[in-house]
Amino acid sequence: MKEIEEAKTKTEKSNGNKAGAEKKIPIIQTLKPKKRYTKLEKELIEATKAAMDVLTKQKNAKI
Amino acid sequence: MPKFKPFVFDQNIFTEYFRVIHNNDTLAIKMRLSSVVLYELVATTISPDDLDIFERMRKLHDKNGTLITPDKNDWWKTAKMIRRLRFGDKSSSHGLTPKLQHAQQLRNDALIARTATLAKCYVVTKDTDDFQQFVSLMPNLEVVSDTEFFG
Repeated sequence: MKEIEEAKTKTEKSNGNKAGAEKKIPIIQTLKPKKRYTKLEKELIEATKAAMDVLTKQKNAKI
Repeated sequence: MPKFKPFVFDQNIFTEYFRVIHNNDTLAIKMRLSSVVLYELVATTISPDDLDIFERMRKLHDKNGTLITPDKNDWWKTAKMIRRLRFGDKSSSHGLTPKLQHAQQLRNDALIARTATLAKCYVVTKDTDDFQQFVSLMPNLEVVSDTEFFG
């Protein structure tokens, strides 16, 4: 489970943290994007965007 | 150790992080879609006008082999697991069998956990405690919090 392990073990030293305390890297940042998508993958991306647009619309309607 | 381990989003991830998912193409193609999560979204959140959009997503994931659906064995094993959890609590309730609170939600979470584990995925959820209770009966279950995943 590479992403989780990387997130758990990588450290970042922020400017304000001289002690170098561990800061977890979010897993989403460790996911490597593909350079090229297949037709099905492109369709999946578009379908997911459309579905998330629906959820956005629902959320806005509730506010 | 596999180079990449796929993941399943719980329903609460979709309803909380929809903007992030919308804007990240990598998530769309690397996630596995649970039929149980889709059921929860469609049954509780989606209006009839928008049903076709989720139907399309379901069909595409099915075609892509990334739709995770419990089969008859999963239902049986999940029922036994929840039964064990329920009766395992007897000792702490002085021999009485405690009533299951939110039984339907517990069942859905257990089905998501089981099918994700069998598909070698980890579960990303806001309610890690709800899933952690299954770990004793499902040792391979891996649960990741929304903050660990999204930061």
